[in-house]
Amino acid sequence: MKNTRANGETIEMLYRRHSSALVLFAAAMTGDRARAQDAVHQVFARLLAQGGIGHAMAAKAYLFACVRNAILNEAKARRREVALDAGAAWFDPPDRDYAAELRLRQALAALDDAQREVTVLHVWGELTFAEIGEVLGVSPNTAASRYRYALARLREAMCATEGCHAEP
Amino acid sequence: MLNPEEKQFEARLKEFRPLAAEPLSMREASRSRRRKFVLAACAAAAVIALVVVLFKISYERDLAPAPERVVKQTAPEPASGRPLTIRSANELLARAPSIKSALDELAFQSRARQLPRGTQSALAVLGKEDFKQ
Repeated sequence: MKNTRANGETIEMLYRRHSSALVLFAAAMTGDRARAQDAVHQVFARLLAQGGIGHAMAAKAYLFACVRNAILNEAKARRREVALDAGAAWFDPPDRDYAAELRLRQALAALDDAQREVTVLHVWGELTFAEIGEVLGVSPNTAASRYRYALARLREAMCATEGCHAEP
Repeated sequence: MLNPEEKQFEARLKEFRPLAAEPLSMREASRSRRRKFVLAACAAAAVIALVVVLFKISYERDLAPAPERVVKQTAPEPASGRPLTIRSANELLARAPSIKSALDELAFQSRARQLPRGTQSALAVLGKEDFKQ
């Protein structure tokens, strides 16, 4: 009983710490924040039911992998492509620049799936490329390479609308 | 390794903070509470239904009148208390002044006997019968 409670507390702590990034990652995959929230909740409900995380992978990377698998499994059933939900924000933008927030969301949606995943995992999930490689089932070098391409495309997309060179 | 411009852009991206997720414990706890409540309600309803059915069966059984049992008239006993046999019947007929009085003696004896509750004698039942010719 005590062990179960400790595991429950650990999972709740993990949720508090990583849920924002996990929901963002799920939203980046689905384009739909509500679906993303549901997917993340399902993952944590399953973890609570099974009594904890018993995995060799680092906990944070494992959580991202679980969310990704949940989304992919759901997508198989739905067979829908990522379409951006223009209404729901994903970010709390600096200086309440919601126009910039929308541009960022649109730029992320324009990336291909692989690049979008790597970008969100690295920038906001704060995973290393080695951890990203474990989550996505690719080598760290492949993850790093995808990230650089994604970064370049994001800069191009966001700066193109603003006419800037370095900043979104 | 990222170049300085890439690092600067990356830092800018990080200024966009992901929105907070809905709290986990409240949603999951309320879902779990709701599930438990539904299960408890179903169990209670099943128990109540079972009790009602059992009560109804028991009540109907009590209300139903006991079927009238026509007691097989045991062999009427002569005054001596012995069961009526051919031999004892012959003795009775020999003793009695007439056949009618012998039969009357048998009828009185059988009427005098205390019948168990809820039963009635075959003679009494037959006496009520209206035989149409």
